[in-house]
Amino acid sequence: MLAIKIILIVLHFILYSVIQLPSGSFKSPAEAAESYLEKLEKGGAKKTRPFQVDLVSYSPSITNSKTVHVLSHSEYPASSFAFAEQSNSQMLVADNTFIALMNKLKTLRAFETRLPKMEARGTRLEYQDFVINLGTVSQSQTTKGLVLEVAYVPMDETRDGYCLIQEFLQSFLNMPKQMIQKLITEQLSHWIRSLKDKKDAEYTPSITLLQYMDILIHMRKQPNE
Amino acid sequence: MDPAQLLISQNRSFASLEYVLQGSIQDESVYLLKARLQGLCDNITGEVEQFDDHEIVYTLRIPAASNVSLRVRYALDDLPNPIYHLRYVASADLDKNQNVSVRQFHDCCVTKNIQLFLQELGFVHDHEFYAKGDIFRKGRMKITVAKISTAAERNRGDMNPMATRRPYTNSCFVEMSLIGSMHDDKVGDEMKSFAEQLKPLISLEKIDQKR
Repeated sequence: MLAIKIILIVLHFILYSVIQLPSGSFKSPAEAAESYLEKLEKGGAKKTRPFQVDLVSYSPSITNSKTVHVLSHSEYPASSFAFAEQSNSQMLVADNTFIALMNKLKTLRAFETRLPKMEARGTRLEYQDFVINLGTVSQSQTTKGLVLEVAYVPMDETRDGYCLIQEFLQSFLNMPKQMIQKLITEQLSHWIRSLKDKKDAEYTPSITLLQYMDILIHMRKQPNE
Repeated sequence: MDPAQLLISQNRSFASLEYVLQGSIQDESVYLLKARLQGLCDNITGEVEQFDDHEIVYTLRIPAASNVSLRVRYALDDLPNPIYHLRYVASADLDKNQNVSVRQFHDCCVTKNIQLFLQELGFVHDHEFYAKGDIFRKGRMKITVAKISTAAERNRGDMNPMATRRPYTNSCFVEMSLIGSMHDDKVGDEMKSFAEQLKPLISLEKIDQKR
């Protein structure tokens, strides 16, 4: 069994941040997940229910259209999140019947699903006001890596929430601050940077899903080992 | 199974069918039809439900296949923060065995950036209209009596949308619809027998839109 190169971490607080963790010390993603789960449970986090995030990408079959990424998350079971690649538009939040609509467009030959579906499945844990989702990412039965999402639920103010989540990661998983900063996705660091000039720093689920999108698309591009 | 998981896995691929009968009535007689519908339909509150919607149709041209249209609809009463409703309606399947026209139907509610999103995907603004009228319900059936009007010019800024509206005709559009999940002959019979009760005020028919 080969060592996995990356372990990805989604820090989702109600300010969520996403990070990418280098890890050569585990033999398999399953083992890495086991170890993180153990650390979290030792710290007092309790398993609650399964967790799942899916990404389906629809490639356009005509030239002037764009690839659409549709994500779903077990934390928001009634919603779908859609994003048009290389666009300035924000994430579209829709009912979960949106995927049926996209499949209809597929049968009408407007889109096709050339890219494989990405799935993150794992466990949802709770530690007081923190919600932690830890899962392995797979692409047609091949495991690609790990994601960790940490949410501090009572707060939707990004700046303070991010500090709390950093502290949580430091104490539960011994992750130094610099490491967290390296691991979060471009989406999150961009969001945090953009807060400096903003008064309104309300965190929305779309930001979490953008982080997942970045990670899952990045993992899909990684060659299988 | 966990309810959240269940929600994620279900509802993903079912196609709804919309059963439709359509007709029109002159403006001067519409009060008779409304009175009749109010008497025949479910009437719990004693008030008739009204609506005032703006619908914008976007079309995607696909070479070597037929064009696809998606309809974005919102209630003007809900402005400035309406819930946007995205709808796909296939052209009607005019099966001779059916008394009513049957069309495939997908819908979902979306956030307000839907129009920009559709444009990013290459959809082009096709046409738009306003529909204002009353809605009646009878069991699972829904009957709308609406005045369809056009926007004389595209609505800009804070201009009152009412001022720019111009009705297409001096009649009202009447549509009886029912959303079901599969071919069901009883639905057609149920709708047809209700339509019979509205005669001779209005004759609701299945209409071939291609003609």
